Amino acid sequence: MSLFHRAFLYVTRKLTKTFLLLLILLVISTLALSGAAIKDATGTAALNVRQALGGIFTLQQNTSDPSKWVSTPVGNAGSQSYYGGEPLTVDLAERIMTGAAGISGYNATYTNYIVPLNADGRILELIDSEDNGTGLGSLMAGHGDFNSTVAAIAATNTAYDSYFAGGYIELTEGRHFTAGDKNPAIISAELAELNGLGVGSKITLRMSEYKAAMMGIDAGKTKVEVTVVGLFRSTAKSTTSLSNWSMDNSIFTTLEAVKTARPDMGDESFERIQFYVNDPGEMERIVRRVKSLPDLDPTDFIVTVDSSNVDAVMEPLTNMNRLISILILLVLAVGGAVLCLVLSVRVKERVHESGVQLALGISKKTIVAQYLAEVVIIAVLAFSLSAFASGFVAKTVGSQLLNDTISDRAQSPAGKTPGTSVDGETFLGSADFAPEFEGSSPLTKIEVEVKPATAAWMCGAGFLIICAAVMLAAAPVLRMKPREILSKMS
Amino acid sequence: MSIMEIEGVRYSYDGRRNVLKGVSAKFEAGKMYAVLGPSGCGKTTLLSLLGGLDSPASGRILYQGEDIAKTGLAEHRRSHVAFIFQSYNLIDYLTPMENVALTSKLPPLPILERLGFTPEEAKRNVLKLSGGQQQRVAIARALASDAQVILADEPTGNLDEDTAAGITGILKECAHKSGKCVVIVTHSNELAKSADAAMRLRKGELQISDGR
Repeated sequence: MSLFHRAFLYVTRKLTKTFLLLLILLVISTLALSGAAIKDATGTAALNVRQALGGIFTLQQNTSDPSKWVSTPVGNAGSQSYYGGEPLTVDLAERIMTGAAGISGYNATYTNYIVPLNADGRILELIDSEDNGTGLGSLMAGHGDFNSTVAAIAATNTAYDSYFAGGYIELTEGRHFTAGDKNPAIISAELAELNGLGVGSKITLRMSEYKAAMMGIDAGKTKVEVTVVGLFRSTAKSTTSLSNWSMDNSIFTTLEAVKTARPDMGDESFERIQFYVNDPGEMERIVRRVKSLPDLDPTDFIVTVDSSNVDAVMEPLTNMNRLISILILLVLAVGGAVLCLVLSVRVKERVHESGVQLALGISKKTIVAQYLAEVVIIAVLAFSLSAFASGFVAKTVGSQLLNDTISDRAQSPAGKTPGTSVDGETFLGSADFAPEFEGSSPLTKIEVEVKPATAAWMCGAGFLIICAAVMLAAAPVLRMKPREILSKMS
Repeated sequence: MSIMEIEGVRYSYDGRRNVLKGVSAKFEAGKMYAVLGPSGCGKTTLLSLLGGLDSPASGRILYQGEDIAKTGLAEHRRSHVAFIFQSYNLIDYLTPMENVALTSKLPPLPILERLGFTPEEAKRNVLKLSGGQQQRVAIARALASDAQVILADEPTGNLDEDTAAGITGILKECAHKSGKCVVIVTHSNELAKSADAAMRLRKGELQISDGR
């Protein structure tokens, strides 16, 4: 009779002992495998974040120089100040793209607030969402159609827009647009549905009559017709200063369209240009190269590598990863020790059997190999069951842990900058009113699952631990002479 | 011609108490030997040495003229000898058939049937068999092996008189009909009378006499 046959008979006939060992192995392997799956998930999330958010640098105007600010009178309401330094243009962005290798693309943005009208000239019905508690909503009450304004986000390539690239919103229908498109628009699928719009529908944008009257502008002459080329949906909840300026009411279009609807912009150009580099590891070199480009006046621009979003997500992910690694090692070590103890008891209980086998001429190696085969048979069953059990545990516990770890941070993909102070006045940019998304980048919201490679790795580690535990447990029998064992038997 | 031989074998526990003081004996195939002696005189030790479960302090144990220390004790146990114990020592999670098949490639059922088992009994859990039946399984296991020497340690010690007589008869048959050399350690004078030769161990020395 082969040792495998004996092992199989032992496992199937000593059911209580088999069940106990199965339970121990199942618990150990489920904990270890769940831990490994969660560790994998944190690793993938970290990689996604680093790739999607870590490879961005932003070019902004250097608004800290007071001499570059221009003040213009506005109707009878006073004056308006804007930055008068070299503007951020598509031409400038193209020059940087050509001058510094390693940039995959860019998007220049500018946000202003306009009133959207449907084909019948009626103001679009807006999606009501909660504001972020600034009280701006009640302050603006009674300001006419200003409460019907929505954010018009001018972009040169919406595929590289920080909301899209960061995964906060995603295109569900139609296409992205670039600076070459003539009056395109991308709106939320929810806004489109509420107003019976779709890809190909026309929307008219114009200045708020309330604001236009303040500035002595005829709002009727600011109308510009845009065509919906794409629809998006938000992947996370967001809040803004004003309910009507929410992400779901926002309209992505070109700078030309926004400027037509907001003639008060004057010579203003883009507020910022975000560049995406191919390899985040190359960021430092690329930024250094951009700053040293000969046709760029370094005093006109600020180049920033905003890692706050990345750090906010990476730090807890890294901590979590470290913690899970320690837990896995702990589970394997404690599990190995428990297994060794249980197997030692089993071997001691079977000294009689070992003695008989030795007396029958079965070698010690074969006896230990039978013990190993028995544990392996049970382990195969335990590992198979744990693949399902750990899938469930990892999904529920892991997802909860990951979400708890990274959910306490609000993210503003628009990249807020501190208020700019000139002669005692504080100027706020459109980014200060941009939607803030709850939680981290949706890129971190990934499926926690047990990957075949992880399962295979854990099986390998489990097999080594089982081998070590069996050898340690069987060591007293291996050291004993057959006669000693038979003496113990009697 | 002897199949096994012991030459000047000495054995002591912890190097102090000498249980065997240079004993010598020859064992022939086709004969049944009884080893008698008081408790603790070294009978089981002698059986263990013959079976290669232990090594003597000095002296040689020969199987067909070759020193078993040189051919290897494990090999000797595997190929030349088969044990029958007082407490049967069957593997408790195996059936009689599986116990017999443990180290044998021969079909176990004919051997068990020869020893009075029905096919149903041969497939039962060994713990559900009587003492006599368990000892017969142990004998069947020994018979199923290729071993030419059967070493039995108090094989009837736990059995009633009738069963013991039955087992003695089977062992005798093993020697006389199957041509095996059967060495039995026993306290039973009845069993010793059935043996072809009796050996008495006293104060570490072996006295050999005709069993009858």
